Amino acid sequence: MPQTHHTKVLIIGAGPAGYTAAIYAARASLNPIVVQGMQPGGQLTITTDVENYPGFADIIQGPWLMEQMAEQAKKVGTVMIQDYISKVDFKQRPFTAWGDSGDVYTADSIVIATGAQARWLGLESEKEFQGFGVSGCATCDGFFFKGKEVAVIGGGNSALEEALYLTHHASKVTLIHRRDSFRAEKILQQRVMSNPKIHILWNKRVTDIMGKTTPHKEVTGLRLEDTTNGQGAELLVHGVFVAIGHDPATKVFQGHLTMDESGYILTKPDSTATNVPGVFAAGDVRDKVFRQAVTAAGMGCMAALEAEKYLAVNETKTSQAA
Amino acid sequence: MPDIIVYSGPHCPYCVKAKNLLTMKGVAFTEYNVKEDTARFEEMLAKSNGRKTIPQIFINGQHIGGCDDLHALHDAGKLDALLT
Repeated sequence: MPQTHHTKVLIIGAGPAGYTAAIYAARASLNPIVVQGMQPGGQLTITTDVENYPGFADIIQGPWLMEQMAEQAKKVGTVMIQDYISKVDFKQRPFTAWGDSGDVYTADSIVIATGAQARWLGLESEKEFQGFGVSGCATCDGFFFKGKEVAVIGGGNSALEEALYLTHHASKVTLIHRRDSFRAEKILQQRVMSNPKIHILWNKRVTDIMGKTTPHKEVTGLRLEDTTNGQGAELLVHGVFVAIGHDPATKVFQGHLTMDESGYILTKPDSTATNVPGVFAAGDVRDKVFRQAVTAAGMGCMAALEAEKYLAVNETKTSQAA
Repeated sequence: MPDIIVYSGPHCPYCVKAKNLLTMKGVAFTEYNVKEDTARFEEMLAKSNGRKTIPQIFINGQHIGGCDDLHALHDAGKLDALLT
């Protein structure tokens, strides 16, 4: 039977931003509900080693870190619900969100922490060979390319991490980047450059993914174009891992909140407040600059503190009006 | 109940994401870890015409594809009909 849940703080999303907001809101006795979405734990569940989250001298695993955050949030009183919000109404108070399960959530304030999702190149051939050698997740599928040659496309932290991970399985990893330098952290760059299994192709854009259909469908290589002189080239590989960045997961909020042209939710300076009073946004949905677990967690904390303040002011107003 | 098979493996958040959707729909499924079970891996390749990513999902023998395919079906409102 579909249920209606009411809470003072509804947190949509279950990455570092959502869980941190939950910890702070629960400790402020606001009895928050976290609706976890399809990927509880968020993007950290697809990384392996995490060594830049403060508090851990030894390397920890992304999925473990997220389990711990969820446990901590539960321990202080957060209600976790596995559901996916597919519709919202921010015009009426309390706010309403509808879950895929049929359950309805009403809330006095909302923290949006739905994060970001991986971006694809957008080539026809990429779609055609998805699963047949084209993947977006090295930890999922790297295993199937034991002893084979693969390529990773991208130049940020994710791309370099994927390339390093793939060296455990593949015989050779070619890292393809459209610029002449990486955006990724220096320490990752050093590891990539000193890894004998990784070869780097600078200033190359992927124009097509080549493959065959018999005896069975599989990727055979990539067509590349040099971004400096337009010269074409081909690279023979069995697998292609796309890691060219992320887009904010904000589709469900379109038309309900002010966003920029890329879909990032706009917030007030030094704040997580959106254009709708009582609705806050934290983490990768509003941050296209830093995008770290620790910055997302920091924003989750800000959002919970701001929600607490908003609720306190509103309660005073309501009781004065009564 | 529909007969659902999910070929999956460890360290696979997209497998988790796909299984979450099925769990949310209240349906049971059989899961095989193809990273440990070579025979099941071969079976997956044969049934999916060589698709070499996980998860690979089958509903009543019909090849659905991976996590994105399952979610696309759901977003298009076509998943429920397959699960009844």
